[in-house]
Amino acid sequence: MDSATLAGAVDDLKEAIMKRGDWIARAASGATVGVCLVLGGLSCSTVPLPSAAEGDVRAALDRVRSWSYGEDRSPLIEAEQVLNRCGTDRSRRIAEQELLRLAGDPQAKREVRQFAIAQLGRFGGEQAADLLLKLLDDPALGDDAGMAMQRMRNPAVVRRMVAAMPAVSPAAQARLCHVVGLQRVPEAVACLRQGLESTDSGVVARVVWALGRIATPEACEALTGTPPDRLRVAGPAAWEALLSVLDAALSRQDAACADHALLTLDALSPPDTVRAAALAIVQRASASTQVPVHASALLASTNAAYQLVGLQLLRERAPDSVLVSLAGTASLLSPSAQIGLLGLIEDRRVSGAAASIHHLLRQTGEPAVRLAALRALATAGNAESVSVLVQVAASEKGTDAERVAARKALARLNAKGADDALVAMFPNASDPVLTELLRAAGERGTTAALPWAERLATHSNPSVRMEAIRQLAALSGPGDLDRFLAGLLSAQESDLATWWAAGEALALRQPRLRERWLPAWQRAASGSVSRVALLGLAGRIQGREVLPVVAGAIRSADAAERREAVRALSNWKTADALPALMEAARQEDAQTRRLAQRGLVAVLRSCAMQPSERLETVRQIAPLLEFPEEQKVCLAILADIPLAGAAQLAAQWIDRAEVRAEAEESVLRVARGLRPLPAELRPVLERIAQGGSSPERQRDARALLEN
Amino acid sequence: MKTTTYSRRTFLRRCGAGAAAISIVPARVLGRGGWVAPSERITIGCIGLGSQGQGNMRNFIAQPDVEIVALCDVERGREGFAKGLHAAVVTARQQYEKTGRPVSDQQFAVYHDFRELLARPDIDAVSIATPDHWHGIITVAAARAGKDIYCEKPLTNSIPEGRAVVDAVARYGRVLQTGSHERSNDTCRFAWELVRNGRIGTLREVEVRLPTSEPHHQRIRAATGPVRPSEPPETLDYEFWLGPAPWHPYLEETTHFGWRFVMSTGGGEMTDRGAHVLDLVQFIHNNDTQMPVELRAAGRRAASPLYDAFMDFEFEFRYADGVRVHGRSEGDRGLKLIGTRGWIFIQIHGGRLQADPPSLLRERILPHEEHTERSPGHHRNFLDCVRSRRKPVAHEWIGYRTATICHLLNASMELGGRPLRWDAEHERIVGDSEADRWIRRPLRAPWTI
Repeated sequence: MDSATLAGAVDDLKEAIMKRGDWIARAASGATVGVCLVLGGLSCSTVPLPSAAEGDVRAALDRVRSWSYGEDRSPLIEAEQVLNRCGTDRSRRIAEQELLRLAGDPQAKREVRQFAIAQLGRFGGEQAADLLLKLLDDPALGDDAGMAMQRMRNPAVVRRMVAAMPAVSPAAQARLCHVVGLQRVPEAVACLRQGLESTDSGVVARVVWALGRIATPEACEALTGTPPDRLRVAGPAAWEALLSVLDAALSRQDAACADHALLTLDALSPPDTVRAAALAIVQRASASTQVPVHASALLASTNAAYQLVGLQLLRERAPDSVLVSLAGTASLLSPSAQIGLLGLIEDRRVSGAAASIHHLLRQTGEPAVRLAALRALATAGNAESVSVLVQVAASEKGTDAERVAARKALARLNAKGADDALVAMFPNASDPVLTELLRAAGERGTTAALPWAERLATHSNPSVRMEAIRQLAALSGPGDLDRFLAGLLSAQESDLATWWAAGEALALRQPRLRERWLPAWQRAASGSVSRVALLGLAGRIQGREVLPVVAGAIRSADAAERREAVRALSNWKTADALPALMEAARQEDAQTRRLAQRGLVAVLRSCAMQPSERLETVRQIAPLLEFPEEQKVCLAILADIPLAGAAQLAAQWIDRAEVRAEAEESVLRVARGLRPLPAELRPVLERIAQGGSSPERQRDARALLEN
Repeated sequence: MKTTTYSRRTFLRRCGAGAAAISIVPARVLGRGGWVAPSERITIGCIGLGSQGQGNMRNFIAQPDVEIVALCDVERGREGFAKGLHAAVVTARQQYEKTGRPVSDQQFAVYHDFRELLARPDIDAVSIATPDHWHGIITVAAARAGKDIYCEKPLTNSIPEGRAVVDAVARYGRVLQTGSHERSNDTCRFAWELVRNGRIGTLREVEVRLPTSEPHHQRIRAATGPVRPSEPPETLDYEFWLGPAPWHPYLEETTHFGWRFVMSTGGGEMTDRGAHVLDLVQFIHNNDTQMPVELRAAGRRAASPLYDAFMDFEFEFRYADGVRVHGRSEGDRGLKLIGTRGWIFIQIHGGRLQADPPSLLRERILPHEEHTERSPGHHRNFLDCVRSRRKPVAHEWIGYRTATICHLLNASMELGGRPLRWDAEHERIVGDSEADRWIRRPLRAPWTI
């Protein structure tokens, strides 16, 4: 296939993919054909790309030759793309040869050779290994060669590395240790053992590290047979290596090797964290049923590191029964152990421990333990926990954090009989407890508590009453809407805001509230107070069903009703409310008029509109605005409309002293967003440039005119 | 082999009996009478003190039970320079003053080498916010030193490093929190609960958006050359800064902040913000129990003399259950979870939610339904777990898996858009030895992990 045919085929494919809309085939660059991915089927498949030809690779790498640090990276990107196309064995061999040529060229720049060496890590075979082994001693490129070798996993390559180890310099030896350690090459142990005798501490450290990675019996023998003073040269790497050897020995049930590893580790006097890690490895490897018992004993240790191991082992090995039993004696544990145990119980949802947690909660004064216990009850509590949690949530003695934790736990507690226990507490509850019961019932969706919420919505204690009203929104269903409205209509004026907020929440859950609003309005025809209450609710719940009635109410003879209707319309989230507000803005009553003008700019600012539509609406509204405050808001709205007409409209206000600065700013902001500058704006900009209200605006206007 | 009567039993006994004599116990642990006193403050050392490191430090200082005792950076800092030790000391002191617990500069020991900080026995935990190429090495060293770890995302700069971190944390029983803080947003948790409880029906696909059009991206794109390498400032130990990354000369732009758009020290947008967004995909789709089985990505590198990260890209991956995730480097940053009955969009950062139908956002999750951990804040969650030894909300496995997805997508792009099949159990790419070699990012001597 020639290149023109191929390019055509790829273009067709791209087009087909684009039409399907699920993936855009992206050409990697103009210099190459590009990579096309076909998505659609569940299997991954690439469009076969043309394999890079010998000439392509050579040409691309020749371009790389001239590259230096800090220059345009295009040659590297292009070379990488060509190398990515080396999909066949033959093309890879070609690529390797070319890369070898470049990497081995002492005349080439360091950065160029670095690039070639890194790519050899991806492509290279035995030949590459030979070159990289030679480069390991190179002061500038040794690290790069070592890094490339870390990627090479071919067994023949590995054999060459092992064979080369005894003969290379200490620096190269350290790099090779890294490679054989990373790749866990058992054949390297003999060479590594010799490395332990090295006078170079860096080599010894790397050898110890590598032996730990390999962790065969021979590696174990090499490590444990070395005097501790020698191993100490490796520092923490020696502890880590011995832990790895211990782990491996226990995995293959090699008790002797494990014991030697422990002995050597002990001789190095490691810190507690390392001893604890060894302890955990030993316990984890044990099949004994006594492990949970040991873990429990460790949890009771005064040594923090061992305590943590105990907790870890309990997580991994202990059945729930052990945790229940431990919870029963939790008061004997240290606070940190108690917290750990409670966290474990919470994670495992061990409900059998609930009684013990209640007991601990009663007994302990340690704030962190109490919080952990409260959190644990959320998942491990039972029906009795309801009472415990409600009391904590309602108590004034505890901390805020405790009350919050108790409320969260109550909301999540998923135990048999929990809802019944909650409802059963209402009849004899004190006011603070009633508040918590109502809150919990609402958050849990305990509809059996709805009659209580309805009854308590008229309670004499404001806290209880407000919570009851709020939770009516959470608990009422479609059949309860009329009762909700009846409650609203009989509400005290001081409670109305809470009722309205509850109504808004309820309408989001139960859209039928809007349908039920109209009959309620009709029933309340005679009472001004009721109608004001219903209008307030309408402002919160909104909707098509409600709007005509609210819009009609702006013509009411009752001023309170009229103003509440305007307030309701001012909160509207759609532009539907604007005609009624415009009508109200022309009324004789000054207070209604002012409210309506505020409402107009508020609705205009918040509702979604196309720019042209918004501009047209501003044109209609602008003449109605009597006060500078609303005029300034209106100018801010104009400033965000990217149309020349917006600037022209704003320009009409420049002559009004109170809003001159805002008008000029609007004109400038609109003009900044329009390129090229519309001719019709030049006169107004020239005017600002010559006599604008501030030097900055004059300067900005001049700049716009000049550009 | 030596003959010995020493045995594991002996070792265990010695651990129990001799511990008191040799133990070096963190300040947090021992209170009066050898009992642990949870009211003790957790002592923290901060490693890496650029803008993110100082942000984490401020967050920790805001917690009443934390004491910052050590600061470490290879940039010693200088007057008027917002990064490094000098600026960090000032920031820490100011933050302490804000919290009503004023301190002097002498409160903080300053270190140039993280190994010296880790050697201090009185430090309970470390906060790591170095450039990405250091995350794995320092995290593993911290675990071995018995420190709990808060490490910025991406948890590591390569897949094998991630596995090493997971192993070290398990071996030494440490607590690790990855800095994927979106998980601690209540809105993200709520989205998890909505999806996991079937409110959008069955999850079918996820759209990810990772726009690369912010001012800092524009700067990356607009960088022109040639740029002459220069001598690093005297206040910066540049060789130490490079550490395990391949050597390259000092270029100021790629050393401070810009390192994240150089593939040897970062992973571009894919690991920068991708680590947040893809983390939520993992969280919500499979509760961090699965990994994608197939991935592919195509991208264009920054056309710049300084940066080589992918700036324009598209990708797709799928899980074994057939759920597909597709993403691109444009749009409103976040993820859209599309189910059979609706969708939820989570914006990143912040977790603002949108949904269709909108009423989804008013849903209540009842006690008998699936709930997920409520985090009191990402840093607070970490500190709570330091005390309780529970797994934090973004523990090491989570950080490792999310970073692995990011690295695989980057690898696919580096290899020219090659599809990759991932064997999560054996942690290798199936049927493509070249790609498998490529993802094993090497470390420059003398650094190992």
